[in-house]
Amino acid sequence: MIPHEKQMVERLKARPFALIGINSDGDRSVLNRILSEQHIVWRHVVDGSTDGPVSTQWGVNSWPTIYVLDAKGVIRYTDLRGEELEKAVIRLLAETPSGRL
Amino acid sequence: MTGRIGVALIVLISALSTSTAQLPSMKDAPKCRKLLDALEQEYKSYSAKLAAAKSEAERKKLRGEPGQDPIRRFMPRFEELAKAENGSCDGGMALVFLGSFQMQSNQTEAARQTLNAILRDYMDKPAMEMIVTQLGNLAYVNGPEGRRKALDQVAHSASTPDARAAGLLMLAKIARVEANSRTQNSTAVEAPLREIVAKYAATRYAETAKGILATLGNLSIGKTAPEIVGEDQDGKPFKLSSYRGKVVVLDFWGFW
Repeated sequence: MIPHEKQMVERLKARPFALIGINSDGDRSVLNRILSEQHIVWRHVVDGSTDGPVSTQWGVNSWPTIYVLDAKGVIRYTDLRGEELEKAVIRLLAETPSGRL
Repeated sequence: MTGRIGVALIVLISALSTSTAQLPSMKDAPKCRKLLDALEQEYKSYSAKLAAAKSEAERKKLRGEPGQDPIRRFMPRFEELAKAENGSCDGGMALVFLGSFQMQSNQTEAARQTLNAILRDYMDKPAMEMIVTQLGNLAYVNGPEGRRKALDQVAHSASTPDARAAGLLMLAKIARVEANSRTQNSTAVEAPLREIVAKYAATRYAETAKGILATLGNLSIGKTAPEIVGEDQDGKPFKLSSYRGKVVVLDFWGFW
């Protein structure tokens, strides 16, 4: 998951796209240690544990879980990985005025 | 990154990082996990070598040299582990990975035989509960319909209730993934979940199934994502709705 996500973030950095991690490993210090060890640069929400508030609200039962939202905030895809995920993001970017290549 | 390396990494990473709160994890197959860790280590240096190669010709040569590709090199070790630990979680998971590696090395017929061996030898073993949670990739060797058949077989023929319930949960998950590429088929997702709730209330899968059923309505494709309010890694307030105008990927993850 992570190697491809890094490449995707790099490739899409000039476009209206955001990868947001919702992490269940622990508190802010635990998360920051992991992010620096893994050289992960994108923004994260600290969810604390697998029973964290966001995971609970979103009914997440297995990790990783992926949601892809369009520019209007509508859920368009779930559970995509790797190349399929990036293709879906690029399709949605094409729907936004400034997202086309 | 070439297709094969990409696939290899995805298989490895998903095996190591996919974990489910209450469901079986690689902790139950420590020997297989150890072998995977060793493979991942060697894969890192192999990838680094490939990345350092100056030309495509050099990369091609490196890939073609016998004993270079760690996945090919490790396949016999997974085979040995499968034999030595036949019937256990370790043995079953070794077969799952062996089959996935065969699949991505274009040894399709060998991968089919490995899948058949799993379905034949583990249907009456408690280890099937764990095996089925990772079987989606290998079972795809027979296409989407073949995968559904294999999982359905586990969901209705495995000897332990936990393995059958885990098989049903996989059927629901696969249907959910497939719903992305076609029109949404909510029956294919919901029917196995309802079957878990109805038949396997005593297993740990019942709560999971109920939870998924409850959220399917609000979190399905086409619905506006619920607001997320929280704190980011720098301690700053986070609000999902402030990202309107951007395409957003939400990745719920953790290492534990």
